[in-house]
Amino acid sequence: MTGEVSSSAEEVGDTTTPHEPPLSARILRRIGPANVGLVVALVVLCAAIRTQSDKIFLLGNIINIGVAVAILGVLAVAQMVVVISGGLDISIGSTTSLTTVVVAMALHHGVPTGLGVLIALGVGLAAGAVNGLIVIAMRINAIIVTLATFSGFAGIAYVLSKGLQIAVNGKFFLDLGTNKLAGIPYPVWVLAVFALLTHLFIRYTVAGRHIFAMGSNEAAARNTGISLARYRLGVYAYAGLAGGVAGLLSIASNGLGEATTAGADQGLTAITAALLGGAALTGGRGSIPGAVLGVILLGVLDNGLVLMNANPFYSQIVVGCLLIVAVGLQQSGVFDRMTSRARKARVS
Amino acid sequence: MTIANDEFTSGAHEAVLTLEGITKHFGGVTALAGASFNVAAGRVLGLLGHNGAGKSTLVRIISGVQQPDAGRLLWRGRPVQVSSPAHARRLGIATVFQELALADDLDATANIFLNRELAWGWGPVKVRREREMRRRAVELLDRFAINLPPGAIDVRSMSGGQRQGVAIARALAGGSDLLLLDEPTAALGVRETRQVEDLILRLRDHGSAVLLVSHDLEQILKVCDDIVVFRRGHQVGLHPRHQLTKADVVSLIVGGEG
Repeated sequence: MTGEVSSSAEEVGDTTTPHEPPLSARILRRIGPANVGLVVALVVLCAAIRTQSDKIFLLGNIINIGVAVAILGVLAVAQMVVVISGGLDISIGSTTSLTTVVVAMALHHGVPTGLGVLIALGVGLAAGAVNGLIVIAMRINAIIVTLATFSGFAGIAYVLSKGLQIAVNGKFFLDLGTNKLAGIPYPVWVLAVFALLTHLFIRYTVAGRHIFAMGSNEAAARNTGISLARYRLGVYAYAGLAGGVAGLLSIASNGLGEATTAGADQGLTAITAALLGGAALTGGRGSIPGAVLGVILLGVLDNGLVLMNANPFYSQIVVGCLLIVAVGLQQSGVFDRMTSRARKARVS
Repeated sequence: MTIANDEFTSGAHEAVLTLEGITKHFGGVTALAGASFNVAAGRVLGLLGHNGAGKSTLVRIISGVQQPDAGRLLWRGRPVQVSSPAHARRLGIATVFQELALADDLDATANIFLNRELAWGWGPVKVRREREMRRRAVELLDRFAINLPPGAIDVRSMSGGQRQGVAIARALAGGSDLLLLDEPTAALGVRETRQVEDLILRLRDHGSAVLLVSHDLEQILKVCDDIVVFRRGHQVGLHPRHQLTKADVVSLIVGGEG
């Protein structure tokens, strides 16, 4: 059960059930049953860290977590949309890496900052469009296509940069990386705005519904006359755009453009975050709040290990275990049963 | 034009769709040879036949998936070429396919209005009018007494009969004049089958033209006003229901062998 379905109940109201649902059911619907597990995990994790360190709830620490997950967050939000549509974009991290290299080189050659930003978005869009076009035109499974471009885009980045770091100076990127607005660092703002716009789009627009529909049942969606090719192209181009945005954040945070495997890693971690957030690889399920919660969980985990003076490399082991547990719980249908209980409570 | 069942559909019941000598070959095999009948408003026409009789070919031709090699279709008396499923939908032919073609993760309203959502706005940013769609869906479901679980729940957690109800409601919401139901109860239990059969009769009473494709003889006898039988691609009988006994229909289906 997804946040999409359950929260649409909240939106349309109970036209067929005059009874006011109990508070517990309303809260459950608002969070989205699939996200309840995440929220519980987050609370447990925070409590566990709190027993070892009193810094976890400090404002400064929370802001640190926000900055740390901003790039991953943008990628995870985009990945969530791709997965909802029934696809997967493995290449998104390489797109980020490629973007940092192209923009850094352009800036190095005296391109003005504004144009550099446009180039970043353009590179992202183009990379995404390449994915989309190959998936559509050659009818190759998206996992294979983006696995190929994952390698290809990273390769282009290495060739262009000759494997070297390209320093980026300039006020814009320095500000983006270090300054705050209303006490909140810019990267967090970028993530918040990107996530909010995406959420509103897929949750409330016609196109958003069609993306859910094509992920849920491709044949049914096609049967109603929905142009799957158009939406596929749009979804992958959007994911590429997110890769470009993440590239800008990456330049700002590192002060350089570089072809690295770090970017690629983040692309894969974004898939993990989306899956933690309730996405199903079969498509049609998931929500942006879920993706954001998944990212926050990963961020708190990393942060907590640092606070507890534990070896941060443990985080990767924990993340792997978390993913198996989360998807296992989803497939067991425990969240579906929670929803149907909530529904029964509402009806009676 | 002379249509075999003119005498009993031309009166109070207007022919919505007319088939004249519809023929289809696949390689050397004749899948369909000269199908000719009317589907009329306010009547249920049952289409019977064994596997390989040509039922599926006929369904695909009427729903625009395939084109006939010979013969013609008339829509409300006018010759038409149903060039695609989209074209069929535009004409007012709604096909409810054998495999329940619903998006499982969406609720009934979303499925009923899929790709014809009511919305505000332009271009890619059209905001759905969820409340209004919900209202109209409830109205439609009430009108045809299609009972669904209350609230906005995804169709995955509905029963087969309820899902078929949603699929039919979706066809009705498009303002279709002709409903083509391809084995609508094949996947359903006894009680659910009866619910769908009752629904078919209500559709008829509301003036819809219904073409019911089924291999369930009892069902066809129970709900149809007219029956057309195919055997190995050939139309072997077209009769009003009341002129036929069960034995008549069986012998039509199996031919000399029975």
